[in-house]
Amino acid sequence: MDCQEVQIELDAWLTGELDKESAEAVQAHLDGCPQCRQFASDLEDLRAQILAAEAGCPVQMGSDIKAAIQQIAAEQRRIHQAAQPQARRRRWGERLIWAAYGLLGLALLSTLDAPAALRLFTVGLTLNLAGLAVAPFVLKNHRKWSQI
Amino acid sequence: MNDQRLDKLIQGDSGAWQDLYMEISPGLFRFVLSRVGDRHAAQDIMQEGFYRLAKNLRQIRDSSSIKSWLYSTCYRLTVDWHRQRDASSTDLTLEDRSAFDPEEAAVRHEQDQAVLDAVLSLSEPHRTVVLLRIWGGLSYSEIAEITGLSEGTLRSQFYWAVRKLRQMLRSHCSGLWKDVSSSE
Repeated sequence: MDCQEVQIELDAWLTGELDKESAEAVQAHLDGCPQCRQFASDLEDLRAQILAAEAGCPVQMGSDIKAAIQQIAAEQRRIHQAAQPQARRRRWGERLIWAAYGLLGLALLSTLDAPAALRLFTVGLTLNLAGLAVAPFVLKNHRKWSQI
Repeated sequence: MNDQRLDKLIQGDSGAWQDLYMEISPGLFRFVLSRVGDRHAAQDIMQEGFYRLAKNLRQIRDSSSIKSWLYSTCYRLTVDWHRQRDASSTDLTLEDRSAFDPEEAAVRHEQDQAVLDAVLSLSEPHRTVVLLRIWGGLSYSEIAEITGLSEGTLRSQFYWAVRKLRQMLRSHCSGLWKDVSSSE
């Protein structure tokens, strides 16, 4: 790495954003290059100076935006509270579907000794119900999947 | 992932929203102001940024990414703002720079003023990367997501911005900036 390449990487090196290999290469160069060490020191000073300039730069925002933040919080509360019963219903719906699968599984097991026609009927019923359970999810996401 | 802060924001906890605003808004406001040079426009843009955050909060995975999400959104809003004004240049004029509160400038430390002037006089891409890095405290990967530029390009832009700033500040802060031009 020459001096310019190292100096381009220095800022990321100072904040620990370089991968191990690059960081070691920068460190090795710095160990033998007083000019780049000076550049690194200047960069740290400059960072401190720009941060100090920020602290001396008052924001003085109007009260409108503070009121807007309160409005946003209130709107979020309203959305969250409205979503709660819906979420509860969804959770119960999911539990019912799993319970139905459990029962169908037991029904399948109980038909092991039954005639083939009854077994076929139970398997068909299970697959149909599974399709019905999955259908809303597929309908909701098919657009997203088709874009992939 | 258990993220209590994000949960509180989603639940509309006033305190959590207030804390978030207090933490992010000063730096974000200065960043937006440095791109538009107009206090009212900067306030409107930042307010819109927070509204959009509220609207999209459920898509955010954890609270640590909120800051870069807001910077990213406000950056795009400033791009739209310039486009709507059909601005041929996004560099700040002297008048734009006065939006950084000229009446306060008198009491500001002379060196801070010189640094602020130097940063604001950088060209738009250089100013953006310097302010997102230092005022925003964002990583190169986060800035790459915001600006759509590669990390290598951003590091290079930052390096040239630093060189330019050193050059500009050498006359103001001669004690601080040693002459290392022989190495360049």
